[in-house]
Amino acid sequence: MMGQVYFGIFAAVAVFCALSVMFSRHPINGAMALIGTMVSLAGIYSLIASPFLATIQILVYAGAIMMLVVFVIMVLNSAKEHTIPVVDGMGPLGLLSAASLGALFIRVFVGLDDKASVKMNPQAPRGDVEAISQTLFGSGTHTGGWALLFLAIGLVLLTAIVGAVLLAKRHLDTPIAQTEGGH
Amino acid sequence: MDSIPLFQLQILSAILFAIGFGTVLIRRNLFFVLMGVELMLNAANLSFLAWSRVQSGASTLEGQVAPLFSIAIAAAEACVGLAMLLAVFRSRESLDTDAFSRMKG
Amino acid sequence: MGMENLLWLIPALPVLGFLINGSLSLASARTHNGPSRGLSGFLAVLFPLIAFLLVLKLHFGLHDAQEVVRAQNQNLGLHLALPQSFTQPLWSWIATGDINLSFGFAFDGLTSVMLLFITGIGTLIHLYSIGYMAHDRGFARFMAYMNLFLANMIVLVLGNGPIVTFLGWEGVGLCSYLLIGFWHHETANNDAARKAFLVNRVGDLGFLMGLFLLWQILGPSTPLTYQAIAEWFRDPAHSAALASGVVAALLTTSTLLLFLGCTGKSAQIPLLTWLPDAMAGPTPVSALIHAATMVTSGVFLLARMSDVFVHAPLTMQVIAWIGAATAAWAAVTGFVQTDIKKVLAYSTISQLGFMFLAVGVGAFDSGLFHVFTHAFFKAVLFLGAGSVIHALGGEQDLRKMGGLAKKLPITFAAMFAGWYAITGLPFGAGFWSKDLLLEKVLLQGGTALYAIALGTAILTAIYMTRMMILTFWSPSRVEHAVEHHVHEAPLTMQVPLWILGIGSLVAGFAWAGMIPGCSWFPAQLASIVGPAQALFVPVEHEGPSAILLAGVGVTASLLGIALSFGLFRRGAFREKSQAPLSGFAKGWTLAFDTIHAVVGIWPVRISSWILEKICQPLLSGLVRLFAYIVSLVGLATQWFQRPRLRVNLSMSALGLVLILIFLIFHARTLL
Repeated sequence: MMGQVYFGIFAAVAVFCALSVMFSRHPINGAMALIGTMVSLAGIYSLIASPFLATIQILVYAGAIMMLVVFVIMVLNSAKEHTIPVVDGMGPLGLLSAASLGALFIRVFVGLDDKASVKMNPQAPRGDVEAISQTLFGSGTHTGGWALLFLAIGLVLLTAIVGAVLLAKRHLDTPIAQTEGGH
Repeated sequence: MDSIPLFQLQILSAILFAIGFGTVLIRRNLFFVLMGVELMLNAANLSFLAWSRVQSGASTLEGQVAPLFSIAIAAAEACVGLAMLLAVFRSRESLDTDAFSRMKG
Repeated sequence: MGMENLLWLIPALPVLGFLINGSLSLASARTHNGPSRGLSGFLAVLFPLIAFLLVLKLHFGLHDAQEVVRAQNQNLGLHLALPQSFTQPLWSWIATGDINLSFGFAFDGLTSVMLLFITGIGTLIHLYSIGYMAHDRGFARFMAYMNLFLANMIVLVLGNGPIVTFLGWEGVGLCSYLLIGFWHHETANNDAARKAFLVNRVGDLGFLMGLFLLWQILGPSTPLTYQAIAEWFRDPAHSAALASGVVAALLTTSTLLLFLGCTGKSAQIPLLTWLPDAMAGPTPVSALIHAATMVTSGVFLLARMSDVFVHAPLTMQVIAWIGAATAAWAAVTGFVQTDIKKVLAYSTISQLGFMFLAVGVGAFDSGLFHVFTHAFFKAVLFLGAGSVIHALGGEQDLRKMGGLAKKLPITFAAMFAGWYAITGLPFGAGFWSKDLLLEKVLLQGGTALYAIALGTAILTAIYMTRMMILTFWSPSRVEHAVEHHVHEAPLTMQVPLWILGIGSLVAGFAWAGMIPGCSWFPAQLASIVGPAQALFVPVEHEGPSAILLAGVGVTASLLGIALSFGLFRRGAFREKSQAPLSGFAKGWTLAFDTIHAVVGIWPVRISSWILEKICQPLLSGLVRLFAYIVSLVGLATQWFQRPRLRVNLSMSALGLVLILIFLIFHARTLL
């Protein structure tokens, strides 16, 4: 019962913060609201017996990734982004399509309630560090097999870093006028 | 603890996804577009975890592994996305997506 | 048996000539004189000549093959069937489902007779053309067309089935068009060419529809070769089917349509108006295409499919009466013409009418015999007329000729031979064929047809004698400027005149009914038209004797000649005016043009006027309306197509939602 109460609180905070992201004027406000959403989600993760992912969510997502975003926002703080309206003429169309997509998903998920086969499984193991590392790297018949993918993700991250460095470097020392001419 | 019904979790995920998508669609500022994408990724992660609680047997925890990769991809995406944002800003002096719409492919 | 493998060479040789001369003509298109006359003329004659020799070789080869089997039968007491033809299937043309059409050639008695005079007379006319066309810039082009015509005519005759024949049929039509309009700098020539082509299209449509109907009767699995068709109709198993009402009606329709095709190609009522206009072409063309060969292909086709036609008695009646009517009408028309070539053109139509009359009464072989002799005497008459025109520097009006017998003795001698043959004076080619034909008409067709035919024979003698009088015997009316350089034709033109002149005197001995042993011609055709002719029981078994009928025929000719001399000897044709035809002559000559105008041309013009003035604005208004609606919709939807990422993304998301809604809530019930 307490779980329901906590879930209600976390869910309300998450949705409120998400809406704040949507409608905040300055990016730094949006980033802060997004961190709020992520922290609430981490709470929900731990409510559904996934402590490891809750930790990762806070450390990597809310911590590292959002830190990077906030850093870049501050680097570009001189931009005229305040002059861009939050909602313009195209806004209603975008809201309509996003809302219809959401409504469609909700319509589908509401139907899940009375399906016996998709009831929550109380015996499902907790997603703690040991269980997840067993699943990732274990050698059992039903576990493991994710190690190669894990390595591949490492390569993807490396490539992303190299790409980011190249993208940032080229334009940092190229005058704007030349870049314009080049296009 | 496990008394939260699946459909509530999924509906929350759907709402967050729709808000994220709406952000991508209505905002002209590139930062908000990126943040909308992050929101959508988070919503997907929540859905993954919720479904993992439905499973029984040995494959239960695979739903917990997928968000791990998703977070890693999100990190890579944020890294490259922000670098591109920087590059675009330096060439256009603006973060307005409508300003880039004039680019002809 | 190596003979069969030579068949493809017969059409291939003139095609080679066409390709070489065509290339020469194209290659020298920018030069002043064109390619060497000698080279191009030599090649143009060479290939038809080789083809002629090849046909001769095959002709005797077939004869030898039959002799071998006959000797075996005699020595060993066997009863083997004599080989009747050489066949060479070349390739499978159309093979789909039940239908299996092969492209190939067949060489039998009928083909051999036709090919002998087509390639033989064709070669001579090519030779003649060298002299006649010598001063024409388009010499090589002319020779190329002539060779192409010859190749197509050979395909028409040599084809193993009606479809292959149709290929040649269309090909000769094309060459006829090209050659009638050969001097294409004058609009009148082009009009004549188009007229010939269009009138023939009507006939060709009939040919095709008749053929398809016939195929419907035979069933698609019957291979469409002449042999298979003949065997199908000769098979007693099919006689019950042929007697049934539906099949009989289908067969009558089919044969009538096929005959429509023949009337187009052979200039019979109702599709005959193109042939007199076709005289716009050079004279060798008139001689080769529009007298000796192409126009007789209708008779050829009827004889080829004689087994089919004899099962449609109504069609046979129609053929006989149309032949008789055409013969009589054209003979009267020939009587009032002032253009020497027009006289010969109407004479050709009239003689073709005789041939159809013979075929219509079931005398296929005598009809073909008239084709054979007619090829000789009409070719020589045309070539002689060409020689006269050549001598007079292009003058074709009979009113400006006269007294040319002394100035052009060789031409006169040749044309005299032709005249002697066509009027049916004793022992000329026409005597044998026309009297045989008249006899068959009396025995198998009845007195009415015989009376028409005999009257036409008298008319023939009258107008042919009139032409001879006005050209050669009457006092000269030639203009003085022209008279000085009237000259006999060059040697290349004289040689064909000699040969064909002699031919028109002796060709009749190929089937001189009264002389025993002179029956080479019917023996050639016996295997092809014999079974069909056997079905025709003469109306009167005890007819008058052949000698008596021949006497009647000769008397008719003499009567006509005498009448003609009485009318024109004194130079009744004195007026020197160039006035075109008028009054009765005009009305009679253009009778069928008038009918065509009323039946065919005016309805088309009226409907085209309606289409242009009423339907076209309506349709284009409708099209404009749709275009306007589309542009309005375009204006409305332009908004969605702005170059904005967010809008595009929103629209595609909405589309995705719609698709998902359909898939989740509707497609599930559908599945």
